[in-house]
Amino acid sequence: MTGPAPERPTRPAVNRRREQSDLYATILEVVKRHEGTGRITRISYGAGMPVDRLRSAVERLAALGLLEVRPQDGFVTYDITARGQEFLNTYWKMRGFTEMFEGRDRHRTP
Amino acid sequence: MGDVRIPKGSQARLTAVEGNLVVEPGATIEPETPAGISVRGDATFTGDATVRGPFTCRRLQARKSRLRFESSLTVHDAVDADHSTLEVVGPLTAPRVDVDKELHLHADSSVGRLDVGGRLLAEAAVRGETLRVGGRAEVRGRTEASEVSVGGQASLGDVELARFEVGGLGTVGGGTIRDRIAVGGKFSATGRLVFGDLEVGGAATLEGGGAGKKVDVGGVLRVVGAFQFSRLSVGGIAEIEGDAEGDRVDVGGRFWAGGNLTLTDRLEVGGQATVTGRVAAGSLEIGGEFVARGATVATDVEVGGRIRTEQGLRAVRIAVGRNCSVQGALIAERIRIGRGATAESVFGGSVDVGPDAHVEYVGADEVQVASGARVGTIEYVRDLRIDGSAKVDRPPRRVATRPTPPV
Repeated sequence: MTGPAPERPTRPAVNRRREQSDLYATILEVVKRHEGTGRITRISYGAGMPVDRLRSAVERLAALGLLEVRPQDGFVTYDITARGQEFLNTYWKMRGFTEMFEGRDRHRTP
Repeated sequence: MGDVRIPKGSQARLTAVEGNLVVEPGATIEPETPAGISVRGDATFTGDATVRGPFTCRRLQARKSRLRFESSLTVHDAVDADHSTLEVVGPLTAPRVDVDKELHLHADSSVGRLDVGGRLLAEAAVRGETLRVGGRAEVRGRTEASEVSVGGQASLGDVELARFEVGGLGTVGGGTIRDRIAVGGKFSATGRLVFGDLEVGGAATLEGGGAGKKVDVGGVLRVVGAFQFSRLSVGGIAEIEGDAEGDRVDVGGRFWAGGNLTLTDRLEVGGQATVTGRVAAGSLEIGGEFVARGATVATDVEVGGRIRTEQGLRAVRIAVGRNCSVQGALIAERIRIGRGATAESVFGGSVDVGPDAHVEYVGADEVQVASGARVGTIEYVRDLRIDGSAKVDRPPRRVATRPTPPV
């Protein structure tokens, strides 16, 4: 139903590892919007992923220190950590380089 | 108490409910009068429902529902729709709206604080305080808010915002984003945009030109039309198809401007800088090639690769890098031509022609020619020093005043 956050790669040239980093960036961007109040179902609507698939991804992100898990009012909510934000910054910076490599050449003269 | 319950699957006609309203799954509610339905208390929907007329309540709650309001919806307190989708055909008015899955608005709406987990689709204008969407937001009319924050993709028409933050892709029609634009992936504006700071990780496109303050783009910036800024920093490629004006430009890769470039401070480009018009800048540092119709620089110029101008490059100090090639006149108080570099005509107070460099013409107060260098013609006012291994094609001529450049 909802669209993914960053563009999903469609080219097989960049392999599974790339797809996983896109997926993690998508989840982290959605978590970030909820400012620490996002529950798993809410994040699933934002990320456009089923809850069971999302749950294993957030567990991995939490284990890597990119997400923080917080019990709140009997529910579990998620928030991005400083390391998670660092990952996002690096991810988008890398996307910037990709854009540069794919940018068209222009050789105009005065 | 005046509470009303609409049973599962039933069709009900209502005018006013003095207490609370509970609507069970599959119900359809129609108003008895064109004025619509007014609920003094809360309206709770426990499943899918359709409301066929204007509807007003204090608080609207829904759980696991698909709700369709075929006319206006006015909520005095808040909309809280858990695991639900809400569609409103008429205007929606509510100070706080929280929808888990999807909110679909057909008419101009005023939403105060809006929070949607999945998708917001608005076919008309939206006015709010903060609009937060986890997944995707599409507003086809004008958006007015202090903040729009979207996790995935945002596509807005004309905007009047303070902040616009998007994780993936952000597009706006044009308008004003007065404080900050922060987009992780790609940002584009199809009309003229006036903004505060712009931070984009990947690529940014301003198709109608614009004016902003700090611009920071990781990959590629493309602007069609005139562009004003305070500081422009681009990691890869910057292209401005029009006049550009600002304090400072810092581009890691390639810079191209299809007009005049006016900077109060520095132009710093790691690779190639091409300006089809004239350049006016405080200082210039180009790692690769510099091409312009002409340039006037208030202080220093340092170019590593190649310089090409029609109307000359004028500065206080010019340093031409090793093996650099210069087409067009250089005019400065102090000019240093690096080892092995070539230049056409050089006019200055003091000119050093480096080892193995080749210059067609030098006209200066003081001229120094290093070993292995070759100069076609030298005209000097005060002092001339030529290394024994250097070559001058025509006998140097001492003149009374510094030769005037032809540009």
